[in-house]
Amino acid sequence: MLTSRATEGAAPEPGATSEPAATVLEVRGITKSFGDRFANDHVDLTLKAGEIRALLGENGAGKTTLISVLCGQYRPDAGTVAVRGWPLPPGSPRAALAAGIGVVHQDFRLVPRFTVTENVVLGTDSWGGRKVEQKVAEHAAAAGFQLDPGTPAWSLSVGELQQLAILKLLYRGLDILILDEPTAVLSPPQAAELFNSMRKLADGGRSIIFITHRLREVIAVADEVTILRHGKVVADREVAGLDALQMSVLMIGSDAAARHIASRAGNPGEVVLKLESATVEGRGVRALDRVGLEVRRGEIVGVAGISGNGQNALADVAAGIVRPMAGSRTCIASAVAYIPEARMERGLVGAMSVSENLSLRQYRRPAMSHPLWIWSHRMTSLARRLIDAFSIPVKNPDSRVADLSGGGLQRVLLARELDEQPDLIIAAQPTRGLDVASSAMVRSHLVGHRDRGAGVVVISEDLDEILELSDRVLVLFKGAVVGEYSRGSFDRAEIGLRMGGEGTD
Amino acid sequence: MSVSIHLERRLNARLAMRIAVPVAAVAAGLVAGGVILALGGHDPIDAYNSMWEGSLGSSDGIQATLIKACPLVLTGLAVATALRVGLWNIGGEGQFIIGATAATGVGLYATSLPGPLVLPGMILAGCLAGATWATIAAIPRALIGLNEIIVTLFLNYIAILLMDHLIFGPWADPKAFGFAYSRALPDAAMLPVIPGSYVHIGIVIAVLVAVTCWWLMERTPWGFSVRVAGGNARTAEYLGLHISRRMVIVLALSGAIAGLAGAIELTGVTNRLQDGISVNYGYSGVLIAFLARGRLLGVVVSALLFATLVVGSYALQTTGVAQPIATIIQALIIVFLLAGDAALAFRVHITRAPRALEPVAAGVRS
Repeated sequence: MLTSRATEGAAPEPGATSEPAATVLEVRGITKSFGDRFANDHVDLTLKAGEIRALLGENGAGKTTLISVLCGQYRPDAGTVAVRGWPLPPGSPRAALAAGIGVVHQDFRLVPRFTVTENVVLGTDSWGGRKVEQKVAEHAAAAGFQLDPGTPAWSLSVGELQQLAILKLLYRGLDILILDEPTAVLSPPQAAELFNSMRKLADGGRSIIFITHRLREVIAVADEVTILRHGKVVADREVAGLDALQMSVLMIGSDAAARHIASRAGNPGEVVLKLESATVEGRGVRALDRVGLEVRRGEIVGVAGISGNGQNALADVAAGIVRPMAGSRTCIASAVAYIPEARMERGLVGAMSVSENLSLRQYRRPAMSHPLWIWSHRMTSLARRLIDAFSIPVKNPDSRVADLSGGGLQRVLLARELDEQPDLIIAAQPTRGLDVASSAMVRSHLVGHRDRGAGVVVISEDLDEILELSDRVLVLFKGAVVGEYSRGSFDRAEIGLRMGGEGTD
Repeated sequence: MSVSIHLERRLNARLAMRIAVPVAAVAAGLVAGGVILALGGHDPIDAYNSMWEGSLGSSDGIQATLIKACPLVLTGLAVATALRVGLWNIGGEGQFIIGATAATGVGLYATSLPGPLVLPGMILAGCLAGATWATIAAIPRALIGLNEIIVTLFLNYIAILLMDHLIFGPWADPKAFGFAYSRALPDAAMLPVIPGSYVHIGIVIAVLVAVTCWWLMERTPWGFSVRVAGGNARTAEYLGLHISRRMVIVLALSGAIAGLAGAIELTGVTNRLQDGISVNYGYSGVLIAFLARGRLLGVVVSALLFATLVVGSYALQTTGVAQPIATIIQALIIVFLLAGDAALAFRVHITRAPRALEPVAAGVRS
């Protein structure tokens, strides 16, 4: 507590930036691990006054962890964060705020029923009034936001909500602004508007960390870029002089040749699944835009792309859970296995036991039940067999599935879905969040079923995984297929570019 | 020296804990109730003695408890059954009353029914009426997601007013001197009693219904699918299960059970439709299902416990303890039971930690 008080005493006056180009934020050797995985591995980062720094990296590269450390939500295992030379006490959100660090989260965290002003002052001592409204309006004007202080938040557009979230930080006098993937929800014109505002704020002396994985945006707005890969800083340099290709190589890794494609090629047979011009719209957004996809027996089709580019819709349509609004789906598979991205939310029933969850596909089979009776010992023996075969880390098949870890949940799901020898397997982000052993097991099962003659679709953000497993690769960007490659002609750099929306016109 | 208390979720409590905690909770409730009795000028020991005599300590008391338990088992089951599909049926009260009302209608007006069919006809009418009442809430819930808690709750008031209209108006007993009674039902409409007692067979029916519901929900493939739908609607969707159909069927079943409770109370106890035929049985069912943690067979146990408390508090009143105080004691025990149940889910760590800057004293470990 003592150190915290010292730092709070040293908190800078709002807006009091010293001479230009002074270092405002200095991060040294931040290390943070979750279990045996390093989310951040000796990360260094420097931010100068008036600078816009892009933080670039794939999902899981450690961006969010780093941000959580900066704003005091996580306590790092090692390393220091210093603001204007003063070290921050680790794990204290209050100290980070007092030092001037503010985050705009992806979900904004606003109160819809409150007005702009009420949202801005929420959490401060003030509750509005004319003076406050005036101050809010001034801050908005300075940033180039056109927000009326009296408008309720629910009536604002997404772009305006984001402006409001930034305004909250400005009103508090915070001058190290961290924007967590701010463009993920914006249309291109809205993003351009945001970039103008960011430039204005930086010119006014504030410093901005801008998280993204879109290369074009880095070039458009950032002065400096820090690229994270597997928790490590792989580049820290000026944006000027870098092009999108160089950045994507750094972000995704250029060691394609070194990473030998582990699995043998498949032996494609008849087509089991065919999507033609499949289109899905939701809330006015095209989740899936005229996607064509053909999956043959004995092949793995990898779908690469950064999450949020239509993967969920594609998985649902391919698995036959969602019918495309336009276009068609033809499937001759008699059994389809679907491993959804949201395992617990969509694939399992948390309150039920491991053995019940393992039986979800088979409980109505004559071998398992009669309309008036379930043979619970058969359910248990199925469970025991699958627990053994997939090394599900559970002693008692009757324990609740919700008590398993992420890797355990995925094993349950995989065991249940693959036990029926499906002809078609749709696996969405099958190894996300899993440790090395579980990931390897998942991959070997997918390859094994392909070799048995199943058609497999693997949707993943992990390009290494896609390239290792796939016989063909599609790249999904904004719901559309923007590239297709066959084994042997995989061009990792080009795929990386297309994932970031580059390389197409 | 600073002491820190830290709660940690407990996955599975040991059996000994699961028995010891409710027992301790009842004891704690009795001690707290004793303080209130003493403040009211009563001797707690005497009072508890008469409570015991009146509920479990005598043959008459046990019989009274079993009679009281019958509607409570059924209304508790109604709530626990609906919970299987993830719905809260707060309308047990209304379904109970509408069930009793429909049964009365059959008893009073279906005079052409042969004698042996009167009772089954009344009970069937009670079940159907309860099911219908619940279905009114189930359909908008299944189709447009209208909150079933609100609709089932409001239907309670409609059922009560409908009953009042009938017993004050068309069905009123001219000999009841303005009391809110319907005409008495014919003798053929009386539920038989268990031989050698004055306990009507309703409690046997209630236990059979409990076992049937348990078997249906826990041991059949259909019940399994209901639990999937109630446990995670998105997973059910992913498996291609029809969720809305299951919601309607299960809520109707739940309403039928509450309606059955009303018909049994009518034919077993009151023998006529009357204001106050339900002493909050429907609402007590919510509490009973909660105490049973939603378990269908557990409902039988918690309803018996609840009935013991209710009958015991009646006995307490006969010794001169005011009704509000008797009710407070009953409520205290239930509050302690609920608190004990919540506490079972946690493990409490009390750490006596030396302050960080002081050298660690020998023998003090966290």
